[in-house]
Amino acid sequence: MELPTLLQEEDVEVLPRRAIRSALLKRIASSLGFTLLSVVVVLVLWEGFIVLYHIQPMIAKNPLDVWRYMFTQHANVAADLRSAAGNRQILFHNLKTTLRDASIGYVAGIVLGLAVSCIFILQRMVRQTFMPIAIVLRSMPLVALAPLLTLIFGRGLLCVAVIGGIVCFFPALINIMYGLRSTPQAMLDLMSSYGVSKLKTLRTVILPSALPSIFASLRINVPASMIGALLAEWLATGQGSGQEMLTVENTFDFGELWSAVVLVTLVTIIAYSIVSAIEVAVLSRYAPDALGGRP
Amino acid sequence: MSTEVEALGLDAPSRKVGAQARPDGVPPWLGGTIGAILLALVWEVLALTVFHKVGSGVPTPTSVVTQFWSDLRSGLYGPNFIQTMKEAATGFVDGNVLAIVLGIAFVQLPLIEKALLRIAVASYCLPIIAIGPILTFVLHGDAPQSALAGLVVFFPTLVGVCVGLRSADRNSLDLIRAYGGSSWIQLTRVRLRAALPSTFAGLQIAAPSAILGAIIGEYLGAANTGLGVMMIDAEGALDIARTWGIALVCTAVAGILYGLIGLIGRLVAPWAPRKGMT
Repeated sequence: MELPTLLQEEDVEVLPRRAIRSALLKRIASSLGFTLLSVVVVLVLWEGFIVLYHIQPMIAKNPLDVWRYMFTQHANVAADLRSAAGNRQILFHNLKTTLRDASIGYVAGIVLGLAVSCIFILQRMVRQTFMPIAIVLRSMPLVALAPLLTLIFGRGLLCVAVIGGIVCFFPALINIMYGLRSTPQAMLDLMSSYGVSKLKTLRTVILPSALPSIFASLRINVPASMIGALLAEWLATGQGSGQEMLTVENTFDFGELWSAVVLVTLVTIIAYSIVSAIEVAVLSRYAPDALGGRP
Repeated sequence: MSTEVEALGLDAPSRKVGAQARPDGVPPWLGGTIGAILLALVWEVLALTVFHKVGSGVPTPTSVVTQFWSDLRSGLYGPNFIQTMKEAATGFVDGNVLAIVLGIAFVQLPLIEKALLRIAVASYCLPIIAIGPILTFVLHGDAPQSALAGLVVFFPTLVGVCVGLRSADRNSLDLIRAYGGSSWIQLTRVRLRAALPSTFAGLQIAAPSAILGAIIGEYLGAANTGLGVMMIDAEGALDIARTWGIALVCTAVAGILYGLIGLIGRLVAPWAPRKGMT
């Protein structure tokens, strides 16, 4: 008679938890395994690219060169080499600037995109007048405009915010608008038949149902904001990783260039994965349908 | 930038439920025209008042149009335009073909997806501006520009294809399975057709991106002709009206291609729900 109670008390509680834990561990292990595999494939592709195209060793840096550049190189005045610590200091300093610039553009673009799409939803006239233009302007080649923007906004943080903001704004606007407009008509009809104000409908019905689109724009704007920041640094401020790309034409320090590319890419992937994980966590709770089909 | 298709993909299930085009008073072309005229007017006024000082970057729309017209007649645009389009088209085709093939492989063979998905995401996270100089040193002729265009185009189309292939009707797939059909038959009979709308959404976004990629490639300095080169020259000569003209031409061409591919998509897959955007 005691055994069943024991089972009920202990195992019913513990078994599922253990099962969940082992399933989770398995998932993490397989995810880590495939990440490792991806890293290996990338390294092989990278090396293969250099060998296949017969790129001069001065320009082409293979994974080992980048490793040496960042971690093991000793200072050598005769060969004009900095120590690895010195290299790292420069790289991380630039990366920090780029991250700051990217965050500025990211926040500016998303906030503006959200605000404008809310205005568009509330004011039909405004939407009908400006949404078609926004769709066309989305195709704007921003490199083309960046130099012009520096003429107007100077070469400071304001310009960084404007360039980064533009890069992030249009995708955000168009995505969020799309989400805001896909609210089921029945829900809207219900709200209007109860005499709920437009603003409250927006807050309680339209915005929540646009959650998948809002998260999608949060995610896809991560790489976009990095590109915006690099662009702004390259063409406007002359600081950060974006500027490294420019100076390499004069200094021929290709180790720095390749290392910077690796660093920026890694940071972007990490940020993208974080946003993506938050997205999956939130959507699986509030909009599970929206997760289907995504690779 | 390049990649709203992911959101379109994310919305695919809800699109079936809700987002039918709602009756709107004004057709988009009319609203857009009014908006464009308004914008040009505001721009003209601002350029003449607030920004009216030497060296500021804002010419009036009228001066931009005048400059554009005279440049067009003197044949400045022709060869540069063709060059950029050639690069963009090569990148567009290469990047998209690769994306479509890989997308099909991803859906048919999940192991490939597991192995390569992270690399695809990494390609999307590569800073194109940063690898531009490397490509410029490595490849020759039009290749760096086309490579950049292809790179920008690749990931959004891949996502579009995958989402589309997976959005295939469950019942049809089950039916084929029940009659002993292979996953290959599922692909050719059901999935490919189902993938059309979201693939075209990807291609639509890819067109402006390809042009942008080509221009960035030209801007990074390998090319002798092209709209990007023309822009560098115009800026060097402090010819601001011409620079704005080129920027607007790029935007217009990108917008036209975007619309055109959307139109083709609608003809190829007329059953797809409209996006109800305006």
